[in-house]
Amino acid sequence: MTEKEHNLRIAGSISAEFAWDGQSFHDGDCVALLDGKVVAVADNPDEAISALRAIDPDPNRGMVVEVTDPMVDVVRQKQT
Amino acid sequence: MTTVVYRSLDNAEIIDVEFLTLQGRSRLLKLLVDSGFTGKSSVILGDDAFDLVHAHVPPAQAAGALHGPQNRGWVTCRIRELRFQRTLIAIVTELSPLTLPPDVQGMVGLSFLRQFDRWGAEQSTDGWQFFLSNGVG
Repeated sequence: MTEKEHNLRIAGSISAEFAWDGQSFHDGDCVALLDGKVVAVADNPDEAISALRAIDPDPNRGMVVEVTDPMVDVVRQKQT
Repeated sequence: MTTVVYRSLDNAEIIDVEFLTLQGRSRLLKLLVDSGFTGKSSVILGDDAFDLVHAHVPPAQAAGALHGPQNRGWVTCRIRELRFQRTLIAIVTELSPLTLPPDVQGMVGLSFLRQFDRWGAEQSTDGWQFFLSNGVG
């Protein structure tokens, strides 16, 4: 499993259950994930990204999940 | 109240938004305003904008002109005149399915517009213009 796949697995649990590995999260929390682990929790994305990038400066590694119910992005723009 | 105005095109509203890279460099992009773009994502950028992503966000489903799971990332955008700077979720994708005017590099949606106290279009002596404003007025 790749680093991204590990993180996505945790992100899925966080989105579905607002919890992972015994740790619970609140609606609106921003959770930084790296190498399949929770490395920071903040109440805004800037702090979560800063914490993540302090550990690993590569923007292609890790991810930041906003804890919230899933929502579909709808682009109503007419296609040509 | 501080307001920034953008001259309307004949058939579209376009705004200029500055994006910051992780290294602090900035890039000004012209973006179509479309309040019919709704959801958690605020911005749609082309797949040449991955350098603007500060961290990845798990993909989310999209419906409409874009559909299926979309690559997303946190981007930091700024409008200096409004002293506005915010880190928001962008869909980063191939833009060809969207109908964008020439030289327009993406789109902002309702969740972007709702970062401001007021937004909309109005007729002025110079014709139609789109505005964003913040603060009490």
